[in-house]
Amino acid sequence: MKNTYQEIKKIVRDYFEEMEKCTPEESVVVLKKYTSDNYTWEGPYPFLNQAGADDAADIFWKPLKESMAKMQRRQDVFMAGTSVDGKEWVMSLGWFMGLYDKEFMHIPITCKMHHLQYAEFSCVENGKITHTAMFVDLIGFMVEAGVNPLPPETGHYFRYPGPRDHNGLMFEDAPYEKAVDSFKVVDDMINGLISLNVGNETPRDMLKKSWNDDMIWYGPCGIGASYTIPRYQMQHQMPFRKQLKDKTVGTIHAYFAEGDFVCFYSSMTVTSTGGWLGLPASGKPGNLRGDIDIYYVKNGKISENWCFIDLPNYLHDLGVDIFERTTRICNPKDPDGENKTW
Amino acid sequence: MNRVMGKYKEIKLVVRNYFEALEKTSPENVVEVMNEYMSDDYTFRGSYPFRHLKEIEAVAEQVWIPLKRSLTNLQRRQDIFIAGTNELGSDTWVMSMGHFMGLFDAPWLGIRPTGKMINLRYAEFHCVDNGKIVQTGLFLDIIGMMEQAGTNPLPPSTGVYYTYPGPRDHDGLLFEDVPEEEGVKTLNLVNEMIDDLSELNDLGSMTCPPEILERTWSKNMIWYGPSGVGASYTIPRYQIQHQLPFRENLDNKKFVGHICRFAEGNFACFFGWPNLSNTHLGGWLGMPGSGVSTEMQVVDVYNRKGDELSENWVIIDIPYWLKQQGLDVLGRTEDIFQPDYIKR
Repeated sequence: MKNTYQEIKKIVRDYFEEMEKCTPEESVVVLKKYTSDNYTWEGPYPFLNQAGADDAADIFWKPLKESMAKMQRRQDVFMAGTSVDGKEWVMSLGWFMGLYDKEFMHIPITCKMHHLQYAEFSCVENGKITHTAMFVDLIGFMVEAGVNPLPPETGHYFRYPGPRDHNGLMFEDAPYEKAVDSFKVVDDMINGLISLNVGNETPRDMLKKSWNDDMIWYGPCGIGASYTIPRYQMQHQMPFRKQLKDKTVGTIHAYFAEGDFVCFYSSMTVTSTGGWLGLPASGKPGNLRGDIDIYYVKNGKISENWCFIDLPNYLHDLGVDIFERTTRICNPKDPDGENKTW
Repeated sequence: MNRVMGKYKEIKLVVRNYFEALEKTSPENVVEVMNEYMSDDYTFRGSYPFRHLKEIEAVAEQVWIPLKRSLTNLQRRQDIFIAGTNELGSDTWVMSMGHFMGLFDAPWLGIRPTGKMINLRYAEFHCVDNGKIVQTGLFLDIIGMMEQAGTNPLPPSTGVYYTYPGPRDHDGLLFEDVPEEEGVKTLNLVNEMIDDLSELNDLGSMTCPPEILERTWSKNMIWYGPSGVGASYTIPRYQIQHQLPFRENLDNKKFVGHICRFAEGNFACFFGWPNLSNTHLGGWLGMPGSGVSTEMQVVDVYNRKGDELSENWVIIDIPYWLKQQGLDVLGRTEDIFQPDYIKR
């Protein structure tokens, strides 16, 4: 396994910098410069899968940069590594921050500082980005604009910080051995959880094996964050495990570690028996696409975990388009829904 | 000991050890920890309702014990940690800025608990002499905590308040000393900016041309203000969302002074007691004018990037400012959300 990622880190950092400095119109030019001809892009609902830089720029970068004036990327974790399938990835976690001056997806503007939490995975091959997995918390963006589409959450969503020790920006490569240790901690924990998917219990002792007592789980808006093992179980894990059945985990992508950090993105199919997210039983499976986890391992156990779940996609599978519904209620410029843009 | 490179190593260690001991101890043992780290003549200045306290026991009983009991598993999440010599004397200080994070499990200052994670923004100054902390300034964004708990006592803010991050580059934790000349540059730049604004105050100006700000600030500066005002980004938006309402709605702005002002590396900080006095004409914070000359306690922490100020974290003791004008936001909020006649 390769032990230097300086080259792919530089490509991705240069791309980030140019993307930040360019105008919305130029975003496609920047994207083309850094991506391969067969580039593919995936994002949460409603963006989904896009083929080519033109489509990725048109559906995501251009409208977002037009809406969020002077948008800056505030990174909290930056890491690179080789995934179990042999591909090389760079992962950046943090927040896009800008002045929310023009409507994005018809969400009412604030003209104030506004935030979009993101985790961006870039697969780099032969000096070009060949695939991007860009996950953003659109419900968090809506809540910040004062239009929460969901019932009260079990945890607490806020503008989450990065790792407590401010050690997530690995612009220089971290020692390889650390990654091996961190990866093992997370991998053991995940295998343990998957083995439990047949039932719906999670003994606290099992969590204690791989999590620090004062762990923090930063979940998606709609669920929120929680702190300490007991409170995490109460405010997220138990509702998730007990109110969702038939859990099937999909393929795990970009699963790698650097230093004290481990990340991946995946998906999961679940069927709600009622209660989760403050919603009734679904009667059919929904896809938790864009299930992302970034872990910070400290003293041999997981200390902090940033987690994304594409809840809008899950709700869409179950018959609700929260963007369409919420904006028609809270920003009814287009009551007949004829100018739907996504 | 290397007096040049490690000048503040000792006082940083004292304060870091104190932070660790305070975090790990149970509420019952806070006094013990404080007795170990604080001098006998220790004094404390803090946000309303704490104000000026002169006994370790009083600080423990009024500030730390209730906070640790209410915010269980309290942890200090620091974004900036710096030390330096007070520009206004020869005393040496350590400043820590960030959030206290815990599970809000019991009422605090009459604020209704949530049972969830909560973030109490703070800036804490410690003057260290002979290995002991002799003086503390502790400033808290209590209104920000009320807002997170769903009991915002104020009208809509001009900017936006949220759980603010530290510096964009995550380079604020200076556990090791940095070359002194960098701090000198930062302090000079901050002083230049203050002089520009003081000049406007002395002229009785109620506004501020953007060109004056552009002399010392980055065009893409971020101002993280107290809850009630909120944060803003870029010079033009900062002027609309904070600076002009502040300048236009407050009259007789007089700079009183600072207790402590220093810089290390790219960071500078100060607090006063009070920093300034002013008379509210009406409109600021969505509140009517009072006609009363009011003291204002302010903390500023700055980040310099190159030769410009890029980020600025500010705490204003708004509850104290309002208290002097006859409004106790803490008492009033408690009476509304946790009234005596409802037994919990």
